[in-house]
Amino acid sequence: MNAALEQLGRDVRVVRRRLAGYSAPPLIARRPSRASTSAATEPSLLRTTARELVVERVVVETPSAVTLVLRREDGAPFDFMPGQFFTVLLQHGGEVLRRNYSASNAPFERELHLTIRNKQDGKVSPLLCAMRGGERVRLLGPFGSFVAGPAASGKPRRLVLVAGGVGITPLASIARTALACEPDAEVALVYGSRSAAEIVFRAELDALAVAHPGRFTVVHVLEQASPAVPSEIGRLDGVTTLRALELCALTRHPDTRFFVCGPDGMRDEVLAALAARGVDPAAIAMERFTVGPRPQVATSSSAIAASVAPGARPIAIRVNGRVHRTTALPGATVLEAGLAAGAPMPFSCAVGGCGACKVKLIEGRVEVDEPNCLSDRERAAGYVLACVGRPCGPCTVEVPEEAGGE
Amino acid sequence: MFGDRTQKKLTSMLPLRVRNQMDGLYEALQVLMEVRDPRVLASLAPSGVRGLVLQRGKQGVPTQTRAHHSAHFDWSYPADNPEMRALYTRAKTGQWNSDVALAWGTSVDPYDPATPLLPDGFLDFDALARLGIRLDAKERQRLVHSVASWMLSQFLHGEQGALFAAAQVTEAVQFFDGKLYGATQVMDEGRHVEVFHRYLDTKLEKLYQVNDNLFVIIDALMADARWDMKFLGMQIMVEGLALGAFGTLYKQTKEPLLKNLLKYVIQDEARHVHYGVLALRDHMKQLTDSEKREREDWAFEVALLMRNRFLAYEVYEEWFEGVLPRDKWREFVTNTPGMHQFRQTMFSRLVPNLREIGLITPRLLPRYEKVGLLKYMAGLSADRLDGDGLIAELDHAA
Ligand SMILES: Cc1cc2nc3c(=O)[nH]c(=O)nc-3n(C[C@H](O)[C@H](O)[C@H](O)COP(=O)(O)OP(=O)(O)OC[C@H]3O[C@@H](n4cnc5c(N)ncnc54)[C@H](O)[C@@H]3O)c2cc1C
Ligand code: FES
Ligand SMILES: [Fe+2]
Ligand SMILES: [Fe+2]
Repeated sequence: MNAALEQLGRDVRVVRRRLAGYSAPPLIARRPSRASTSAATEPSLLRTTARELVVERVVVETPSAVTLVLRREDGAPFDFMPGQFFTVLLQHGGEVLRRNYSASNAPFERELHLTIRNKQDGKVSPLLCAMRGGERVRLLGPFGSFVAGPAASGKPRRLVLVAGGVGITPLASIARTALACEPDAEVALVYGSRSAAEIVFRAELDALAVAHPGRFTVVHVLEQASPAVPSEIGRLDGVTTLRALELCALTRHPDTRFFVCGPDGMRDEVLAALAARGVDPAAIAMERFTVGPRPQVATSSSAIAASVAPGARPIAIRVNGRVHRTTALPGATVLEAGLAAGAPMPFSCAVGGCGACKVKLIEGRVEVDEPNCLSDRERAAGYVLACVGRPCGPCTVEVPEEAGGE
Repeated sequence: MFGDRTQKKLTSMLPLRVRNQMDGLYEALQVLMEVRDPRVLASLAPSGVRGLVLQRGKQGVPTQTRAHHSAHFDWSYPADNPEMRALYTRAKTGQWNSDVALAWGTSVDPYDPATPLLPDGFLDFDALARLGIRLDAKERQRLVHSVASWMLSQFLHGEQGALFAAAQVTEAVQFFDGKLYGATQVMDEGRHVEVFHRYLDTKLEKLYQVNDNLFVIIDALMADARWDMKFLGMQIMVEGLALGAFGTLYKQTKEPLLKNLLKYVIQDEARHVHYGVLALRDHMKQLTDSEKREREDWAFEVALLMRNRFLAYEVYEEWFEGVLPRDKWREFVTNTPGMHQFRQTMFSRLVPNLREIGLITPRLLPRYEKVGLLKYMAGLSADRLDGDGLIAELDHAA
């Protein structure tokens, strides 16, 4: 009976939507699936060739954040999964800088929204924030596995999203898509900002709550209280998170999945709070925006020469106790050689920006393109990035336990 | 009901996007009004409403459909149909492992001119330009990528329908040898779902919603209690058309992984259609005249639904909604050379099978003639054609 009522509700919504002149989204938002687990071993050309896009307009979101609205020349939608990010390539002086930005809109919207916080002392974000309509940006992507998978066998999805600051971007995409495409999905958002003025997407979030009554709740957490925005007061930490989660009934539902994105410190506190509430760690997904300290050394030309010198390079790759042996061609990366040989190596951005492809160098020499996201500690411990690391001779690498693909 | 003219006048006052939705709803109404046999209308109308009006396949949640057939058990395990037994044996040895048979490591670049998904001239860009839409070379490639992804998405959704229909038919069919054979078809369809989805997901990276008309047909088959209607719908109509469509694409595509994938799928499908013909040929002879007439009309309506309505509206919505009126797109797709040829081959496979089962009777001839389907009567039906023969024929034609 209940199911029949829900079906009726959906039918009525479809007819109302059509009479108002709106079609159903033509494309299905792709989700991680059987096939995408093997997709990790099949890098796609669509993703690894950069495309140039025109900035259609720039939306000022807050005093320190803007949204670049990008369009494909053909007007077709961008094919990303909500939660994924793109890598912006920016020519700066003599080098190409790469930074990742999450899509903040829904994939069926025919536009790509990248929402960028201006880090005053940063290299790339101030330049992007100063962009004007009509300028061009080069992009790679989409990448990343911070995506909301399907619910168990057809059950409506229940999502609790926890965002700190500009960490709202992938979560906004997930929320917009789930609410628009899945009539039964329920979403709660806990969102920490410095002040009411710094809340990115404040108006849109309010509009979403109005458009989807009972399906979308927002709890703001503000460091500076504001009469205009009802909120929990304080930094988004363990205590405020627990209080905010208390206000979201979804938190208590056994099917709920949690998505957390924000600065490193906040993430750790939120995770602790979720653990304290007894949330299964398997139900939690996280995204890192920070890529660690960035050494300013560029790859030296002699290193490049060594990595492309002629001669085959036998490589052994240890994953989950198995050894895959293959040979890399001059100039090929460890990741390319490994994937071609069928080794289940994890990766995400493929441009040295996320650390997902980190492997330990056991033996031999690997030239890693600089700059990249490895921390000094990781470097000292002998880690290299497979996606931008080229073997200079025979070598052996090991995929760390926790990262091994299945 | 409104005449065409009144409808146009009424809707021309509305904004384009509302007008487009009206065009869609009006089109749905027309489909149902064209049906002459009231029994056929009664069996197709609920599915028509669910698919064309309520768009149940596009609601963003899994769709529940209710099945009404009964499972036929036979505890004596008769050897009751040698031809089906032979087909079962052939199907057992014809199984293939999709992980090994296909080179999934192939990188597919939809924009590489050396390995185009669809041939040059598949879409008539001049005709599109006459409608005021001028695409540059890049945009053209992307549109072709969309159209190819759309077609393969519809194949995939059809395969999901085939998977469940094959399972239902295996329960319902009266021949025990047919049940054994049916089990292999269930496996085949599962594999087809797997390979089409994998290709779309990892190579073309695009997946379209199920087309409303395809949904109507699948929904009608699932809901119909009569096993022979399920058979007719799935094994003959959907599979028959799919076989034609796969054949066209196999002939036209230069992308090696897709070509190879289709080659394997075609070999399976040839068995499936053959089975449908075997099961239905004798069955049709036992029906009363009135029962038979209903099936003749039903087959005709479904053929029409598939012929006229396979119009890539989802691609239109993705690309041109708000730029081009929906009826202009319909005109374009109907006449564009590639889609035109698709329809040709699809029906050149389907019509001979319908004839072979005895569903194209003198009574129906004028109607087939009128919609231009009669010219396909002369082809070979599936029971005279096996998978290898089909591939050889296609390779020869290419
Ligand atoms: C997956 C992912 C998704 C992301 N999505 C978004 C998004 O949607 N929106 C968004 O705004 N950002 C996002 N980011 C962050 C973004 O990629 C950039 O890191 C950010 O914009 C800063 O880049 P920048 O070039 O301006 O700053 P950088 O020049 O990279 O500097 C960043 C900060 O680090 C400090 N710093 C620089 N070098 C060093 C060093 N050697 N040692 C110590 N400190 C140093 C700088 O002073 C500055 O404060 C995302 C990041 C990732 C990994
Ligand atoms: S894949 Fe992201 S750093 Fe290598
Ligand atoms: Fe099939
Ligand atoms: Fe089939």
